Amino acid sequence: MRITAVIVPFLLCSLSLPASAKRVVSLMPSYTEIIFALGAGGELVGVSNFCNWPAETAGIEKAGDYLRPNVEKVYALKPDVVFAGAWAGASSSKQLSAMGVKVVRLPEEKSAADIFASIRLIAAELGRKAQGEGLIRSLKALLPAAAPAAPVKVYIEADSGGWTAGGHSFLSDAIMLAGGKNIFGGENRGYFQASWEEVLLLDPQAVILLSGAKEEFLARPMAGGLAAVKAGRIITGLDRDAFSRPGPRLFEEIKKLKNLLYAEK
Amino acid sequence: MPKSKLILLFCVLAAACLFSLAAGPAGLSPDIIINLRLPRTLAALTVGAGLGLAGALFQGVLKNPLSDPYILGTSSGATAAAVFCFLAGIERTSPVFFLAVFAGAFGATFLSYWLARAAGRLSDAALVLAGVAVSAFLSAVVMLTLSAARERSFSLLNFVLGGLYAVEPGVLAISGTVILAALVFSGARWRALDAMSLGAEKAYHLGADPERERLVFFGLACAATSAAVAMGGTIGFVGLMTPHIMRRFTGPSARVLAPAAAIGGAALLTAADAAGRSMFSPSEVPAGVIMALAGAPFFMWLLWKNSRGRV
Amino acid sequence: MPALKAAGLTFSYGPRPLIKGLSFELRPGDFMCVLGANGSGKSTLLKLLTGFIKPAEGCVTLAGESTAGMEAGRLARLAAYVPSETTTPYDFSVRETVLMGRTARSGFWRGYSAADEEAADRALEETGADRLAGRSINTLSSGERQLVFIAQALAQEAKLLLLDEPTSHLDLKYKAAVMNLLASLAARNMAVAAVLHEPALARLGCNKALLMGREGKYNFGSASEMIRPARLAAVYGLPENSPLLQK
Repeated sequence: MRITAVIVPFLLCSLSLPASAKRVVSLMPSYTEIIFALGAGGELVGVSNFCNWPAETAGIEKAGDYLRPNVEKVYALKPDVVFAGAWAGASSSKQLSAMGVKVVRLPEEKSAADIFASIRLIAAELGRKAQGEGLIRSLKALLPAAAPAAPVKVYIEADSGGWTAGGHSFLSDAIMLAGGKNIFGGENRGYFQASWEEVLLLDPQAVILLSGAKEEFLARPMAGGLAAVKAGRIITGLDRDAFSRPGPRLFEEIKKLKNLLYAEK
Repeated sequence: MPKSKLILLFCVLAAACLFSLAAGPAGLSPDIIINLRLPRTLAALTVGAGLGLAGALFQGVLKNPLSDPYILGTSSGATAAAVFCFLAGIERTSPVFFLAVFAGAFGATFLSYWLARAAGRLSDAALVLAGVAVSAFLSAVVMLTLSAARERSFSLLNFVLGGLYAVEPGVLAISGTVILAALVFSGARWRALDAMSLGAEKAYHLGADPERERLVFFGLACAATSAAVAMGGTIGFVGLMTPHIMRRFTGPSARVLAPAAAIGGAALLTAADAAGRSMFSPSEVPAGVIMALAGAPFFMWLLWKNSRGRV
Repeated sequence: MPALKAAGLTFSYGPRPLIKGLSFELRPGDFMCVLGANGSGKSTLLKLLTGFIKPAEGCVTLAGESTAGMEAGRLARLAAYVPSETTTPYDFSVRETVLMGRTARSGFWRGYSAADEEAADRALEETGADRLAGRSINTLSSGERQLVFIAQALAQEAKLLLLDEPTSHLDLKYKAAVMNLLASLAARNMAVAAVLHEPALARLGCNKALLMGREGKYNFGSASEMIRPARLAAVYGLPENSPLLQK
């Protein structure tokens, strides 16, 4: 009796696990990557057009881009839960809610801590809290132990034309975790176009180019005078997608960046 | 034009250059001024001169004070062609790039002109409407292209928005030459342009063949516009505003107006660019945005004035 | 040699002929009025004469030169044309406007020559527009404006002057002034042809008249023979005793 009282719910629970596997739609590449890292990739029935990692996403229905998801497509996928960014596409998530689809809107990640918070929220929603905590632990383990006393000054150009990240972006935090210091980290904003003169003035010791060619950068006026150029620290080797998405792959890139920043030349 | 007004015009130009050379977070460091602000100032002067000249030529040859390369769709045509060239991997310094951009500009302009004429009498408003229709279509084509070209869409969008962030000396040299040539050539034909500003029929009877002059001045204005677009992307309203401001100093005759519009456009855009990159430091606002902020209300005022007759 | 000769001009905008086999000639000193109902092709005729539109058949010769394939610049030296109204949004001064009459006679680059300035001054004086020289054409009354554009045409120094309803926007005083001016131009051996909308005006100096009727019918002859109630009644579709046609 007592045994059945323990076993039956357990059996029911384990039996119901595959049956209760949810139908999940993710509208952000970073959420998709988190869901795969949690081992729940099989539950994804729809992803955004931009989701291209891991390779399995190629076989999953595309449901539009994250700013303007295709509401009808999402609805037709009959999802149990949709993960959407809280900051964009508010009207489409409202529409979906009105049609009875559960939409989880995750706040924009502005730091590594926010990324962990997103992982926790997604894990909880998918009933994988333990996997979530495990993932966070393993990601934290990738981070360098201590910040150096004198961090390297870094200028990050996400898109050519001087588009860079201010202190309100996880990119700034990622640079800090890699032992660097974003020269525009003091700016209270996310993404903005910085004036080239300001970059020259702040004289970064390292430059990260997430897109665009090194040659184009070096051809800019007075680029040769930058400490970063003199030291040969123009970093183009980071994976653009991995570094610019607030997902688990970012932490590998942070480790890579640390090695690049502190490599002996 | 009286000498005093000419001196005043050059003083304004000099002031814009000084502002552009002096404004910036780095203060008055000689290195920064020579290597950074000087090329940027030259670029702004060139683009502004090209757009100002194109505006004066269009307003004259079409006898329409509401025309300019932005409103007629010339800039959109050039931009669309430039975006296609970028995607096809054609370098900005290659002659093919310039030819393609010119073809885009010329095609779009003639399409607007033809549409307006097909709509009946070539009224000022019909031309603006046709230009809006052509621009809207071309912008949609550009946006469609951008959303298809995911990887590079952002840097292309940057170009479409209009600005002078990165000045390539090779492009500056080509654009500068093209604009100077257009200015010199239109200087040789100012009489025909004046005749055209009395209307095509009157121009014909004064001895200027309107079909030929239209081709010539559309060609010159499109060359100047494409040279400006190749360097600075889509920047509106310089071509619209400058001739109107300059006419108050020079009178309407193209003999003085065309070069004055080039100088005035150069001063205007140089000041707008300097303001955009220094007033919002450390971020930078593209000159195109600054110009639209100033130019759109100007256009509204012009429409209002135009509805009451003279401009 | 005739100043203007039209031979067998035929033109239509649609299937119905507007002008059919029209021929006439003007000699230096002739002042011809062109009369006809609305839509009879009067304005079209003037544009055919200057080659601004091309006839389907027939040809026009100006002082012995055929206008077919003639350059606009050459044409402007042989014939000047004044439309019923010329507008521009730009504030050209009266003198600048008259100087534009020299477009066909001045080359590239340089400003106006002394000869250009003289021709403009003469034209301003002859039309009595010299007192307006410094004003913007957009500040003038329509009568003053018309005088300025006639002055512009005179600055072209062509031997033939064509005018399309030069008096239609003017008050009586200016109607008379313009007609007197045109008659005085004919008196100094220019050939003048003007489309008029009121037959009464033709009595102020015209020696020739061209009456244009429906479907390309026309009559050309001396003014005294043409400007008669019987003929005009047919042209305008009015009864012969209409008070509009009486002297």
